Amino acid sequence: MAAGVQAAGAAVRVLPAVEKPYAVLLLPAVLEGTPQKQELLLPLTLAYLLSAHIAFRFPLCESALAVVERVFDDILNGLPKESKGIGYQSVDEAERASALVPHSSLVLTDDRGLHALHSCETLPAAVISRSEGNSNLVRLHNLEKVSDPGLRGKLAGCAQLINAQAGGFITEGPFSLSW
Amino acid sequence: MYILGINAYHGDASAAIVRDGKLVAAAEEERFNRKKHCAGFPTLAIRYCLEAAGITAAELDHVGISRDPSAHLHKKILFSITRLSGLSGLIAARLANAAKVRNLREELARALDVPAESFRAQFHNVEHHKAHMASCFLVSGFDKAAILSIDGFGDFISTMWGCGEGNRIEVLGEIEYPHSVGIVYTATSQYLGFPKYGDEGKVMGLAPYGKPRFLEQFRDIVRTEHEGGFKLNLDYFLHHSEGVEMSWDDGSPTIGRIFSDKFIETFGPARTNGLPLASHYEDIAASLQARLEEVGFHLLKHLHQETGSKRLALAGGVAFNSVMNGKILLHTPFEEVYVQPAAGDAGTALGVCYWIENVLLQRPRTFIMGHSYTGPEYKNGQIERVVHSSGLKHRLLDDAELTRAAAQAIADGKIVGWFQGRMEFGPRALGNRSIVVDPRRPEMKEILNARIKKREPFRPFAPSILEERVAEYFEQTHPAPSMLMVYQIKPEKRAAIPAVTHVDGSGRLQTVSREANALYYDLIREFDRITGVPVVLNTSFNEDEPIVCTPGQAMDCFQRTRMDVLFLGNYMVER
Repeated sequence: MAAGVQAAGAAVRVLPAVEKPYAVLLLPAVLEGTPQKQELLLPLTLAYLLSAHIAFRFPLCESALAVVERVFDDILNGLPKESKGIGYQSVDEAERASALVPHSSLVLTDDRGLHALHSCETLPAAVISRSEGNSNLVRLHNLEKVSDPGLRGKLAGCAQLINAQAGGFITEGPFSLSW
Repeated sequence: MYILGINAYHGDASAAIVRDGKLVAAAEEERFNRKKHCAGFPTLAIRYCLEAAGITAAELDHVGISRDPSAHLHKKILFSITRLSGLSGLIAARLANAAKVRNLREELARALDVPAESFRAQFHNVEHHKAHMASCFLVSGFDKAAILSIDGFGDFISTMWGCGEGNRIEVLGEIEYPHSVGIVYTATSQYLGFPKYGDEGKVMGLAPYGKPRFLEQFRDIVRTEHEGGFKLNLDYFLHHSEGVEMSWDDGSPTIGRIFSDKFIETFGPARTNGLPLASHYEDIAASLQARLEEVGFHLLKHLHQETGSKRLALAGGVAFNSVMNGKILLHTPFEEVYVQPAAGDAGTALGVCYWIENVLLQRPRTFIMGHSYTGPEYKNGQIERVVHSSGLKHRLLDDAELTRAAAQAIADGKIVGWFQGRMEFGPRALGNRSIVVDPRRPEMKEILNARIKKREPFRPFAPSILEERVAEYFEQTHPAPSMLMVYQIKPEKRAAIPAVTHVDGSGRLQTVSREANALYYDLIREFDRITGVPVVLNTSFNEDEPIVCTPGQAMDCFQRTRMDVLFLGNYMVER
């Protein structure tokens, strides 16, 4: 697979089965229809950042593609394309998409996608949730099983940055000027 | 219905409370805890607001804060992980751990010493710049207007513009971190030896002494782009690469160094605070101010084009740049400008209230903020105790005697403390917590500085003028009730009011109407009757501290400085 996220306007593409390690971006909203841009911003951002270390597979239905592409355009604007790739998986092969999970090295999902992990409880996973105040929160499962230290570090860093915000307001610290 | 708005964890922490659409009270925390530009949590200001409304926190229906941690979260994460040099994920995690994180509901409960479960209110986060936009448009009285919010940063955005119509605010554009003209002004102020929070106003006052011979360099530092946008040449700054810490351990905020060594390579050694101001530094200040105006008008012309509105509502810290504000009508197609008196971050507490009231709840807009007198007031009975305990000579006067006596004292060249009615919201003393002197006397500026204010000699003092007489003295007549516009004084009038005429012939005026402040209006009218000049010099009632709030603080300031006479409510107090 070519490095970099697929360009806007690219057709939905079924990835060939590969042996190398991969992560799965599992978002029920994009499997069901047309998602809201707002709900995709954070998971797609995380996927992009983590894809510098591991290729992602991203199952989605065709009607969600346009929104997904717009969100990626927004995220990637002006950024270096340091990515091993995020490949789309057509939704008409949903079963195959679910089947990707047990063989993956990491699952990035949200509360609604949690059910996919029930049979894979030992799998490394990052789950994006909504906190009580409606802020985003990231829960990490089995982080120690991520073998790539770069991926593990970035995952931990992203989660802690997001969770610091979810807890309320950063009232002191190096980000105060901008955040 | 009661709505409490809060600005916390930013400079100028503040609170505001609205009852059924009407603003009941608004004030900055610094006025109560006496820490200038106090950041942190506005506990005392909230207590004051609840007291003014006559309710407990349990009776609040909505509580909002002008921060939204989830706003632009993905951009914050992207920026932190991809662009901060040397910040690997693990380092970012350590930084996140080091940051102190507080929850609004719990913090409010702790501040008011009540259980968090006692609140029935809904809690809201309002994005920083949306709060700014709401703070100016929704109380402007304009049914439709272009809106610009421009400051340092808030929720990862430095500048946001849009269109307001009825109860709707539509965001049309924004400038993201790390690009900010507010940051350019702060960084240059630091370089010029003015490092304190809020020192940017000093640089604005310095600029007219210089020539903008470094304008090309500043055009390289701030580059305008299409559709009103701009970007910084980040080589000149540190905030994007190293992160700049803002802390408020003792209440007052401090900001780490923002300018990079490239600034020094370009302009020479930075000035150390307190050293003489060579013309070189004056020229840098002039160039900065000129570039700010170019960028501001570039954005405003685009905003006018995009909205088609001739009315502008303006807020954000950069909206305190009264020199730029005063030129808006001259350099852009806008014909009316509303700048909310607390245009800086303090005003976002007000914006939160009206965002909730008008935008979220869609309740009708019924309030126009025609003045800034929303702080505490003290009755003569309370003042009497302070006066008596001072042991100073005093007289109780009626309002007519009060304004006559004060006007005569001013005309006689005395320094008059003028403490009346409700304290102002926002940084300007507008005739309720003011020191007032005769603007006809050229020596008054030096006398004020020597005896009370101790300000840098280059900084001008401001005139208050009867609204209907503005055309006699100033080149422009658009009302400026909040002292946030600088206009040119007519050349033939400059000699008549030298103490308020800046080196370039300008004055940062307050237009005073009887409707907004009857007693202060009558004072100036009385001064006009005595002298034939409908103008007084008005400076804030303080001595290197927040503006006084209580009669006791006013009396302390009077006694420790060399003020001549104090009008405390209806009491005239002399030494």
